[in-house]
Amino acid sequence: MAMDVDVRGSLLFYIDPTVEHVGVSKVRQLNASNLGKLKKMMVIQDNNTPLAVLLNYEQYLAMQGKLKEALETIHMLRSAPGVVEGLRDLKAGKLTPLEEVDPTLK
Amino acid sequence: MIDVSVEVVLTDRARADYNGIRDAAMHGIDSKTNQAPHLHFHRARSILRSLKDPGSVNLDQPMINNLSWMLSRSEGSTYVYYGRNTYTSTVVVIHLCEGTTDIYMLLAEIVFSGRTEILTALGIVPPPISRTCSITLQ
Repeated sequence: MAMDVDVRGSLLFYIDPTVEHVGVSKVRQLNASNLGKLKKMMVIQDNNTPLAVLLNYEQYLAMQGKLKEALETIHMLRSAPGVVEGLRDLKAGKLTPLEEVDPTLK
Repeated sequence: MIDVSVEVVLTDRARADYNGIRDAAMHGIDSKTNQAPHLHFHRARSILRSLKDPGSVNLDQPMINNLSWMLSRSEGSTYVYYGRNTYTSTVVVIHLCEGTTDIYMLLAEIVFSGRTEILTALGIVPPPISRTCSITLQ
């Protein structure tokens, strides 16, 4: 299984290639055509002061999805005793078809 | 056309969870005031039915990183945790439970409980909590 290794916090010289710092003038050049082709997240700055962040729709949805995954995982870990017990049953092969548990769910 | 049906099986724990939810709903069937057990039962059934639908895979909510094989679906405060084997078209339901629908309330609960190791494990740095109360009652 591939493991993500996050080096951003540990390497002071790390440059994130997915982020581009641009001036406000860059925003004026954006239109429907090139907005749809955005590959990098843009940090829009004025005199080295970050003002806004621009990213494409799919990137935003991916971020939102990751946040939801993290929050759902926290939720799952809160009910961990039940989950752990269920996993033990799974390992032991203690399984019953849904139709046997409740025939009305056939 | 090939009929691809999903077989849903429940672990002993999930079966006990489901039976408990059903019993609570059946015992409270005459209750005019507390509809919660009945709603919980109705939602649990709805989710279990949806798991049998092979076209509803897009509703699977994975956990993060190494736990991404664990999936969940929720309706209101009813949560169902399960795993899916796409080769055998089988869904194994691991656990059914009730939980908070307000995820930010949940985060606040964890932070204020001081048991933030879950957040740390996920790479989330919880905010420091002031030990002195800064609220002044007027």
